[in-house]
Amino acid sequence: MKSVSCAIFLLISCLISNTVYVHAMVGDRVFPATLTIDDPGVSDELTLPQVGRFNNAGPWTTTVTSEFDKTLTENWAISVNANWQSANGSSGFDNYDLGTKYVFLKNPEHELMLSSELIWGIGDTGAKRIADNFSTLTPSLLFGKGMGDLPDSLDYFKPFALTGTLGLSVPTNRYSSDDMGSTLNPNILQWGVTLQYSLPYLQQHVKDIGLSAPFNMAIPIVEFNLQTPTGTTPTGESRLTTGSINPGIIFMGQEEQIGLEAQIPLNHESGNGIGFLIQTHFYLDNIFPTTIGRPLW
Amino acid sequence: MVRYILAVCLLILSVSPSRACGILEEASPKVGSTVSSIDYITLTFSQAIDASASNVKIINDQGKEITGTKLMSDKNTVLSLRTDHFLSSGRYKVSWNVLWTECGCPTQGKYKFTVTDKPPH
Repeated sequence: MKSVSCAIFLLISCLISNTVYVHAMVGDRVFPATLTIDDPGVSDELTLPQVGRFNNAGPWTTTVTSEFDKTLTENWAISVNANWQSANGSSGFDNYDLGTKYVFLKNPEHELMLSSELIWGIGDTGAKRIADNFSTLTPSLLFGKGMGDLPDSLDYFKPFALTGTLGLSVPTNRYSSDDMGSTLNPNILQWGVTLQYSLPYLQQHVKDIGLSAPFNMAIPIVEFNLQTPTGTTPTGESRLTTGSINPGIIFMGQEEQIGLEAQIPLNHESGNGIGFLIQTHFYLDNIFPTTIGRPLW
Repeated sequence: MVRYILAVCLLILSVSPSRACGILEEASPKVGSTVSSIDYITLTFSQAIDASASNVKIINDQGKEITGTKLMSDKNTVLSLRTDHFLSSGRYKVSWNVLWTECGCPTQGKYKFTVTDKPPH
């Protein structure tokens, strides 16, 4: 933990290049920071906090998550993520995550962004009773596509956007063992999409319908956050996809955003009740545009 | 529960639409509007912009740029383009790019409007 704190301090202390940069933006499209799957952009940003409560086919769990993202170049960023959780009277931090993301395609005309990401869930860095004692590596591909290139006859569809991710979580230990015996740690396909309708985009680029704050900052959204273990169960059956469908809304300001979502379990194996997520997120690139909000190089 | 709801409402209201970098606050003609023939457009921004690094242009539906003169307000928050002639009927695209004086960040945008009437003689 001390070394992670030192690394964050060093990053914040660095002073920076002349490159200018604005958060996940391609052409006229700004992709907000989504709550359950990662957006395709890189930027200097801080999630503090994201609070959730859900039932993951077990006891009701409360989570408090924070993430700091720092751009190294205009298209390359690193991230640190901490996740505290509490369930059934047991609480503590899960393993810390380190990540790196690179945007390899931006097409402003078609509002298209593609990026790749690698997340390292560092084994044995969280509380013993909650966190795994092995690491997990998750390489992913991410995309974002705005519909601003639709023909003018479909003007009111232009504010729509899709983002998505497809990754594979690979545990470094194939099996975990405890007093109860040995357990297989399967590879897990992590995938998801979001469908968004940007009222700021409607107001600024399609038609000014006279919305005032906070509605002119609102982005109604549905996120699908899904996990599918690969391989088969010991009895030879395919493993079930689990996850949640999250309808909600994001209010996107210039310096911060607030996100609110319900968490509806995809199926019985995903949970037994509707949970929620609330996120406050800060765009450091807009708050500190001349210092820590700029890429290092 | 009421306290949680109030807290969330306060959070939403605290989301500021503009501070460090600016935004386009108002456009005339309005985004997506239909207007009588005009010979100018005006863009009002929430923050001062660098006049030398900011620009606006109007493009007609044949892709031809309409010529005109760029104008700035005293406080460098209003960017206008007075066209050499009144615009004739058709659909036009306004494309703008500005550099905010305070933060040095660039922002760009575009929108369309429609002119229905013939220009006055």
